[in-house]
Amino acid sequence: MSATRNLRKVDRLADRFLDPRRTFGLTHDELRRRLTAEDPDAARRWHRRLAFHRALVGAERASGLEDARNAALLADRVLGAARPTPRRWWVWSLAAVAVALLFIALRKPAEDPAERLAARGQHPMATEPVVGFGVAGLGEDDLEYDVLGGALQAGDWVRLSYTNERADLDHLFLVALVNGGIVWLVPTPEDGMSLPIRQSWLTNLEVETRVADTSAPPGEVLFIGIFSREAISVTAMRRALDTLPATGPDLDSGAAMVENHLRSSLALGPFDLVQIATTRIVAASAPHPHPPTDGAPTDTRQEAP
Amino acid sequence: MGGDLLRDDGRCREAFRRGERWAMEAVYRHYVPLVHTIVSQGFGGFRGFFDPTQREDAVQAIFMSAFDERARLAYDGLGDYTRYLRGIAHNVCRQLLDKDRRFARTPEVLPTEDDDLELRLLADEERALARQFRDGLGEPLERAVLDGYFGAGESEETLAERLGLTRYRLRKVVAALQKKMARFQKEHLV
Repeated sequence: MSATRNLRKVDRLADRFLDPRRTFGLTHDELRRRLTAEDPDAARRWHRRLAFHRALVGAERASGLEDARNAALLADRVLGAARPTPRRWWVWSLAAVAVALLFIALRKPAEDPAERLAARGQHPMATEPVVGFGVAGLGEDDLEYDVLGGALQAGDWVRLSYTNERADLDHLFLVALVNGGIVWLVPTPEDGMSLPIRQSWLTNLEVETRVADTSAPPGEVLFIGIFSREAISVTAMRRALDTLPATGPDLDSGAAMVENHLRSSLALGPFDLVQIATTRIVAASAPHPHPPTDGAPTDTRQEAP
Repeated sequence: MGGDLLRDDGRCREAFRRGERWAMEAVYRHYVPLVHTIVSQGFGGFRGFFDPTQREDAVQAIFMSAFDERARLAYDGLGDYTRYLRGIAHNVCRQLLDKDRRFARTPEVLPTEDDDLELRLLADEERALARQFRDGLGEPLERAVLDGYFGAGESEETLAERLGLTRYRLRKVVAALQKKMARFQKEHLV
């Protein structure tokens, strides 16, 4: 990974960390720690961004914003150890990477001895590419919250993002299943085919959408993301989802069943990634019209059918 | 830092012992200046961590240790929590130093005069830029929000009340300031 790319990544993480309207969770913190531990230039860049931020806001040590971020991260870390781990997109990503590694290990027993020597001593996951999608809910005044690790409030808009460090995956399909209905996220039925994507990191999709309107009853929502080499058509996906068998109460086996069904229905390749994340919809405490945002792509928002 | 939150506030202490999130966040924010001072300036023969990453890791490790359930329950509320926390901080720093000594076979690289000079020049440059940014803010309200919300970490509720604003209006100012700062950083940080 080039030094310039690391600096860009650190910059994007710093942008997120220093923006009080955006989430910065343990996943982001782990990525930041990994980058700054591996690359001294990235570490310098991170500290320089924080130092400059402190100078701008007139803070001697850490700013109040930094303290609030770090306090929340620490509480997440401490409480996370005592509570069941929420289902997050990167868990699925790591699981998929582990399956892919197993597949490679089974298929490629012999390699150049020099390569084996070069790989010795490296942590196997340390250099694995990260692939996954993120879903942030937008509460009042566009404050983001983590949907996949928590819940989605009915009526709130959602903002989508993805990370793709693999060069071979260049298409993304994102869809949600809510109360037995399909909510097309990316692509829409008008787009027709998967969204072409590139290798990138924490990229926000220029679309905001509503997955459940304010009258939606509390229940579960299943987000499905497919990172594939070939584009998938909306027609094929609709056919696959229409023939989806009903899932049982066990979400883990239900997700596995959905993945198997999609893999066979869409004839996905072994290296294509299917990621499934479940979360809850909670009733809107008070229905609120979502105010237009400064600079947000309001013209691309789509209502769920 | 005023007072000793956990010694003086029984409600916060009980919530902290139960492991409630709001209490942990309040404890972190209240005591982090003390912990930061310990890891930066050291104690006894230890002169503190010079490297900012080490400092940051040490602060996190100290609080992780202090927030461990056994450590939370072991504080009885009678003595000073600052003393109790200082004890934890010293132990964690010693453990970190021992670990460093075990694994770092090369002598510690101390900053040279040139490094020091470069850091000082960078800091001077950043301070000058920061002055330029703050002078360029249009209205006094923006500066008050910059200092209160971003700098001192005042809550929206408190700050809105202090400045006589609605929270909606305050969020608009916060969003505008955030954009200005991000743009300014992009323009001036190479």
